[in-house]
This record gives sequence, C-alpha cells and structure tokens, in this order.
Amino acid sequence: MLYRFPFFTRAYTRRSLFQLFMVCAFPIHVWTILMAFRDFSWVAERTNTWDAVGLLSYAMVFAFFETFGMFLILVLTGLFMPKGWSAEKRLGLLGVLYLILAVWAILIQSYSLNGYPLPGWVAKFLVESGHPLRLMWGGMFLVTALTVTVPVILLVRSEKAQRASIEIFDRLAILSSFYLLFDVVGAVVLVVRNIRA
Amino acid sequence: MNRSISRREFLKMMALLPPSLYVSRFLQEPERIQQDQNVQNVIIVLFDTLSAKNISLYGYPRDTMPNLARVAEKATVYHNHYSGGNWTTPGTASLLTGTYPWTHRAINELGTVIEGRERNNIFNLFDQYYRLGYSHNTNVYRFFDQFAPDMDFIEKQKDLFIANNLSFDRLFPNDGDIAPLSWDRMVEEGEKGSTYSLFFAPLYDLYRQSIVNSYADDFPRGLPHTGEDDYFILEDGINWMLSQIETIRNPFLGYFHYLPPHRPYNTRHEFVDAFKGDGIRHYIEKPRRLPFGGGIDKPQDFEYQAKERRDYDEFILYADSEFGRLYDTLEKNGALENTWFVFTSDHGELFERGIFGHRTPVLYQPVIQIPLVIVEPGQRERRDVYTPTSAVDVLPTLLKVTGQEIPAWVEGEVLPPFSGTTPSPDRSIYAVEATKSDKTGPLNPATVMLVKGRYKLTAYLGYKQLGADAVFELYDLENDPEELTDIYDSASKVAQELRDELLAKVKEVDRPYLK
Repeated sequence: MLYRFPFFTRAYTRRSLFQLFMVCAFPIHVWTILMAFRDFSWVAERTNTWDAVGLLSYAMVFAFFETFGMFLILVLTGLFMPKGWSAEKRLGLLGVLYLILAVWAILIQSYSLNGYPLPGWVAKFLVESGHPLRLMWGGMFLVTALTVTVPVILLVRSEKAQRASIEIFDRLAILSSFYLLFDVVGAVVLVVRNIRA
Repeated sequence: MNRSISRREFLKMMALLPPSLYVSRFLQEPERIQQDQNVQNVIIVLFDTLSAKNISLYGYPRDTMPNLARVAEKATVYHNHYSGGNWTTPGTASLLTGTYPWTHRAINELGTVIEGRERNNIFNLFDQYYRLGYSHNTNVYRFFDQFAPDMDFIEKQKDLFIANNLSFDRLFPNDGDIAPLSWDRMVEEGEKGSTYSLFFAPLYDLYRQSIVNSYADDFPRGLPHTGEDDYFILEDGINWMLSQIETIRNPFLGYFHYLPPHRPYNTRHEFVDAFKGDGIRHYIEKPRRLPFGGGIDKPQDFEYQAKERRDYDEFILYADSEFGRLYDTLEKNGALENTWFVFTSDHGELFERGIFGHRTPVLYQPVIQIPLVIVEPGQRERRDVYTPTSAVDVLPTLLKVTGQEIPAWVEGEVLPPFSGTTPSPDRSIYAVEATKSDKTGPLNPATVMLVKGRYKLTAYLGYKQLGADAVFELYDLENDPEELTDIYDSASKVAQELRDELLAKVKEVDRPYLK
C-alpha cells in the first residue's frame, strides 16, 4: 500500500526493504536463541521437553514481532533522511546504525548477565580523579558517540563502505531466513499448545 | 426509510451517547447474591511474616496494630500461638492442611505437599462451601495449584499486581504455565537483569517504571513488591476481597494471604518515620551462640537492627490500617454476623543476634510466634487464651465450629474455648525448619522446636557446622521470654524429658522415610 506514495518509492526499493527486515531479524533472533537455550534444560528438567520447546516457541514468535516493530521504526526513520539519497545508501546507514544499537543492547545485557567487574585500574583512576561520575558518564558518551559517528561518516562519504555494508547485509539475510523458518515452526507449536490445552 | 442521517441529527445522537451510557450503569442489576443467615462463612486473612513479638496487642511497646487491638476487644486472642515453620512454605502448608511439616513435607524451596496428601487440605474438607483464595506470595500458589480440584476460584496472583496488564496470561489462557513464564523471560528482568528481548524489554521496563513512579508520593520508600519486580498495594488486595465477599454465594471459605509486612518494608507515606525518635529501646543484646545466619546476615549492629525493626514496625502500621478498613467494611456490611473471621500469619521475622529475616535454621520466638485472633459470628466480648497453640489447630477448629467432621489425619486440636474442654497445659507444640532435608528423607539437617508448658526445647539436628549430630537449646519462656539464658545444661531433668520426647517424635515421623 505504501508503494502508492511517491515519497516512499523514492526512499526504498522492495529489495532494500527485504534486506532491512532481515538485518533487523538477525541480532534479535541470535540473542533470543542464545538466551532461550540457556533456559531450555532448566525448564525441561522441571517440567518436560515439550514445555521447554513451548518456551522456545513463544520466544521465537515474540522475536518475529519485535523484529517487525524495529523494522517499522527504521523504515520511518529512513524517511527523515535526505531525499536525494539512494535506497542503498539509506539501507546501509539504517542497517549499520541498527546493528550498532543491537551490539550496545547485547553488551548491556551481557554485562548484567555476567556481572563483569570494572577493571581495578579503571576504578582506581575514577576514584582518584575526584569526579568519578562525571568521568564515567563522559567516557560512556565519548565511546558511544565514536561508535555511532565513525561508521556514519564512513557510510555517508564512502561508496565502498556502502557496498561493503550491503554485501554484509546480503549474507546476514541468508542466516536470518533460517531464523524466520524457526519463527514459523514456533508459531505452529504455539498454536498446537493452545489448541491442545 | 432510506433517508440518511443529517449532520445535525448525528451530532444530537452523539451528544446523547455519554449520558445514556452513564444511566445504563444505574439500571444494571447488581450481581449481589442474597446472604443466607443460616449458614456460617469462614474468612481467613493472613499477613505474611507478621511476628507476634512486634504487635502491640501482644505487649510490644510500639502501637503497631491499633486496629487489631480494637478488633480484639470482640474476639478470641491467642497469646502463645506458633507457626508450623519459619517461612511461608512450611508455615502456610501447616495452616492449610492441619499437619506439621514432617507430615505435609512442604519443606524445601519450591516445596509442595507430598504426593498422596494433596487432597488433605482445608478446601477439600469444606466441600459444601464456595472456596476461593488469593495470595501475593508465589509460594502459596504451589499449594493453590495442588488444591485446585478442591477450590472454586483462585484469583491469579498477577491480577492484583500493579503494571502487569501486559502479559501472555491473558493472550494465551490455555497455556497457563509456559506462556506467562515465557513472557517473564522475554521482557521482565530476572535476578540477573537480562531478558530475551533486546529492544522491547527496556521500553516495557520504562513503561512499568512510569506506573510505579506515579505512586512515589504515596510510597516514598518505594512500592511494596514481591522481590521479583512484581509491585502491588495492599489496598487493591483488600478491595478485591471485599468485592468478592459481597458477590459470592454462601456459605464460602475465603483464604486471603497478603504479603505485607514481608520485606521490603515499603510503608505508605503517612507511616514513614511514625516511630522515629520514639525513644523505645526494645531491642536488647542477645547472645549469638550458634553459627547460623539467615535472611540478611549482618554482624551485631544495633543501629542497623534498630533501623530495620523500625521500618518493619512502620510497615506493620500500613498493614494494620488496611486490616482496620477491611474489618470495618465487613462489619458495616453485616458480613461478620454469619462469618468466622480468622486473622493470623504464616511465620514471624527476626531482628536479633545478627540475624535479620526469617530464612534461618534458628527458631527463636520472634520468627515462630505469630498472631491468632478469631472473631466468632456476632461475638461481643473478648476472650484471651494463654495456652500454647499451633497453626495446625486452625483447621480442626474451623471444622468443629462449622459443624463438620474432623478427619483422623489432622494433627492439630480444636482450639480453646471451642473445644469445650479445659486445654492441657502439658500439650506439646512443634515447629520445624527442614529446608535442606530431602522431601522424602529423614529430617536432616533440620531444626525441630518443642514447646511444652513454660519450656521450649530446640534441637538442631545434623548441621555439620555445629560439630555434633544434635545440639539443643532450652529456655524457660515464663521467666525468660527473650530467650537470653540457655538452661539446657542446668535444668537437666526437664531437658532430658523434653529431649527424649522430641527425639522420639522425630524418630517416629522419620520412620516412613528411612531407607
């Protein structure tokens, strides 16, 4: 339906939308599968394997909807980018920004999960500075800003970087298609569980 | 007939819509069921982790429960009432089954009543009644799940939590176990702060926090919660209970298990600092003779102890205010004219000897002595019972007073004065802590308490850190209610008698589980 609007067709091709969706699916599904399999044996031991499969299925279906939600947000964000940009450039920038966001989200969750302590020398430096909070926030801002701005500048200025990102997305799409297959299986399991019960 | 509605007509209709919807509410027949005065209902209200030692009604110097004291003027008050165990699972199971932990075996983490005994519960025995239950405490739902065939209605735990309106429970009602578990894993941060969802979970958390923050003025110490990110206010639980009682069919048996004053002690704003600077130094230095911790284990720090105890007392004030509102509403509605009203707890709380909380192998009085107040239908005068009683007595008592048979498997006795006989001062009362014992094995390691008359013997069985198979403590509760002086060695005759009795009992209850 959106293809009836000229501004939309100027911004995206069908192929770029498909690739963007697949890029969205990748980190969400990888993380979900990793986390769900951590709990798989825990649930199987306490109830049974079918329940553990159920947990996995709910997780996969949820991951699909989360992917779709993120995809929509990215598509809308892309419409705010300069009109003159090609669909590939738009896709490259959106995809890379999204992947950076995903990496940060995974790092934050991993930090909570594994409870990595701050290295001793960093803690010592912060304490001795007299302004540990300011330094910490400042440092975080600097690192975050760098991880976002450097790739963005590269992508905006270099066609080579754009092509590389598109090629990476092509490969991710293949992996993501497997995950989407899991989503379909998950949806079937979910239906069976709810009809059966 | 085919004339289309004009814009003016449409606007007129729209203007009439809101008042017509409003009026229709008044015209609806309320779903109220006529109360039958010939039958007697039973309401059990339980406040989790409420130690009798911190209740003004039982002599605590702080006026923590003025409303309970008021209700007690027209009730039977049990002054030496003991829980079956020192935490929710064994304590609640003893109350609901009328048996000690060594019989129901709900003794471990995630504990349930042992296979084959699931039908030996209060709901099954009140089979002519409409039986309903609710609890803020997840541990209680393991029993509700087991007793579900004997219950007519179990309100879902999360239904009375705040900010839980998005959940798979509603979307997938036919997959009641795994769907909500999946939701929890996907979007609600577990104990390690991670979720399956990378992007939705933080947004959902922000949404929940915004709801929780909207209560910040009422609960400046934070909203009461279960410790698992499930927030609630007691008002919702009480309101739900009142609405149920108004509409369910008679006779009914209602079990309502509320979490306050369980930790965290997040009281309502009007009770914050209510006891600050009151000058009451009710905490005294007590010897920590055994190498046990438990709950929040801290070294003896009287400042910390005083602060914790004060926060707890102020949380009790909140629970009491809602208790008062509940009782007054029931009384005003006339619901108590044909209802037995039982108020109790599942276990107490400890703030002494460097032990804070209740998950501990020790069974000192604050963690095991709980309130019991029973209001008989139409009772107008107060009665006080000082004989030691147990949580296992509540079930047979309610059966007796509602004219029902007491099955042989019940280990409790009918409470005075409803028993019709003079209570024996030499009756033995037990409590058990056996979290680390096998469910289908002997009680080891375990702590078993025996109260008989004025004496209290506690046996610590099989704890490796004690360096002996059994270690005992004996206190004379009449002369030493604070359990300061262990007389196990000096009162050798009493000690020997009680020790022999307790060990014989343990041997007896272990017998079916010896391999």
